[in-house]
Amino acid sequence: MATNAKLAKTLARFEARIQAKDYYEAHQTLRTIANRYIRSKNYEQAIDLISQGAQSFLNAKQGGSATDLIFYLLEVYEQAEIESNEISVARLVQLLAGLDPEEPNLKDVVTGMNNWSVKHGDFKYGDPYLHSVIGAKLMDAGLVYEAERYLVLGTQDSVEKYVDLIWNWFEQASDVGAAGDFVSRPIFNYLFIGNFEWCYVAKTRFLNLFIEKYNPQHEVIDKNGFQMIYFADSAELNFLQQLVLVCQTQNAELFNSLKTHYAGSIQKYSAQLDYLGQEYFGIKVQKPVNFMQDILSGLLGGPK
Amino acid sequence: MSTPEKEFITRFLSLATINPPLLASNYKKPLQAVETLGVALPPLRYKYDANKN
Repeated sequence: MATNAKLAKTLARFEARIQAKDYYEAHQTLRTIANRYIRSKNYEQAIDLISQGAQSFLNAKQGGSATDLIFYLLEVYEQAEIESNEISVARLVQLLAGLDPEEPNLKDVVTGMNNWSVKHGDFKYGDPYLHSVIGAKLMDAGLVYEAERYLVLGTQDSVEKYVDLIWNWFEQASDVGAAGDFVSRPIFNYLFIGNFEWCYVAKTRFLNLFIEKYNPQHEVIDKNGFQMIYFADSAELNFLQQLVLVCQTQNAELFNSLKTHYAGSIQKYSAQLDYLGQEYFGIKVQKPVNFMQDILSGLLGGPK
Repeated sequence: MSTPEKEFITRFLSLATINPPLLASNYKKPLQAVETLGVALPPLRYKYDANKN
């Protein structure tokens, strides 16, 4: 209790310096005291102190000092071997939410946070909740490809943000014929990680927005409970919808027949389709053949 | 209005849905089990302006 009172007093002094715009002093003092806590392995207090300090700097629009303290907090997390769980992630999320998207360190901050959650959590690519907030922040900063990576591995909430991003981007492009380029991104990304639920959510939302806005000639086709929207003018959109279904069946013959029928309109997706072929249909990607070796193994009866 | 593509689609959907698919439409591999992310998608030909929306 006594130490908590001490911590409260330190924070009050710190807060007073912030109010007086004495940022340098505030920052230095806080670091000195936090160091003392860390040396005596009093990590919990150090974490409280640093994160509250970072929050105050954020409130005072002192992004540089705030991000410095966020990095410091991550160092303490590392040293104290803090597990990535609801509480430890929530602390980062709160700081991240207050961060200005224009902050020059933004990318390094989110990478630092995610790396910690990769190392100390159950998710190979980091915590989904953390991803949902990181993705939204990167989106606000206009770092769309980075945002996309995090949103794909986020929460239910991220799916909607991801579609918003893709849709807004598509509208900005003002190229109706490019709808496939855009909607194919969430479709492939979710198929890659085996998430059909979110694949359907994203695909349906995007296509509905597309129909609402541009009113393309279309027709709903319903077969044994599977519904798709047939677009008279977009073989690509038709292909992508059937692709999701065929991955669900894991039927290689159907996959190949689909690819053959649409060979002309889907050339640009060959790398993606090779990957899905391996993932869902066990189709090994053929390496470029060495012609001489092929002839020899043919003659000698070896494997082709 | 019958195009070769539409005929293909009708046939394809019939074949693909004769049996319920192995993976349901709401199937979702838990994120803890995700080990790979597939192939990186090529960048789009269009720029995105975060301040426009």
